[in-house]
Amino acid sequence: MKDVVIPIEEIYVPAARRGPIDADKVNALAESIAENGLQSPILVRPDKARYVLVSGLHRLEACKALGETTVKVNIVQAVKH
Amino acid sequence: MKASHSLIRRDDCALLVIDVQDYFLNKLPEGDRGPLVARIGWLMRVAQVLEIPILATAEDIARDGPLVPALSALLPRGQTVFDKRVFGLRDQADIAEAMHALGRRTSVLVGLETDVCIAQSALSLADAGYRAVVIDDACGSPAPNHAAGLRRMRDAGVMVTNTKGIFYEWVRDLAVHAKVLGAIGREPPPGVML
Repeated sequence: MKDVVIPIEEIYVPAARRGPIDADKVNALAESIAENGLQSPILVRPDKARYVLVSGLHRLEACKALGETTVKVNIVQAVKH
Repeated sequence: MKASHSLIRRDDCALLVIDVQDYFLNKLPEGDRGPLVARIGWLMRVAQVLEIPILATAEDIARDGPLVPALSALLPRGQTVFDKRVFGLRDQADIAEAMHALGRRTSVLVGLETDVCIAQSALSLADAGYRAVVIDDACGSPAPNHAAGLRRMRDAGVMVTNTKGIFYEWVRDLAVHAKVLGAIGREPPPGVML
């Protein structure tokens, strides 16, 4: 399957998913991503003209720390709870 | 996990569409393929009207090909079809993550093959605390394997029902029944009489 890659700036992180961020975890992920690439795409859902982060805050932060402008994603349906 | 004899609530369901690919469909008698895909597609359309999220997988897409176009066309635009590298989908981290994120604890399984990926997925979901519900006439595997897969799951406590049964459990009342059929049309899929 072709990977889906989107601009990081199009990903909105809702307040409920913003933290806390474990800096050590971000650093370790950044090292892994720099060496092996992002092995597990982050999870987003579409929301009008942007995407909303569903899961993968630390992976997203690690990609940002590496200066990446795009990220590999899996896209799931928005769910009403 | 909830008692398996209670009614299925649509607001707790996700519909898992597993490995509906020509590679597997072509093992079935030719006359069975189209009706099976039609029943799965019909359930996907019902699910969308009822806001039941759908998660689709296809096994080793590079080798076995994509989800059949008749069904991929029913997914919301851009939605991921997970490239499944395991038989029981709970064993793959990105799929397990997506299922967790959906927050639905009842997994309704359709697709192929009944005795392999459907059975292993249902059993591992049940082990993980999900309520697994398999739709027997929306799953397939060449005889006698379909029946063997259903027996394996039922013996392990997985709920087995059919397309008509899950439709009415999702719908529950005449107002919702009219809303769904008003949205998708009154014609049931092949082999189903509402």
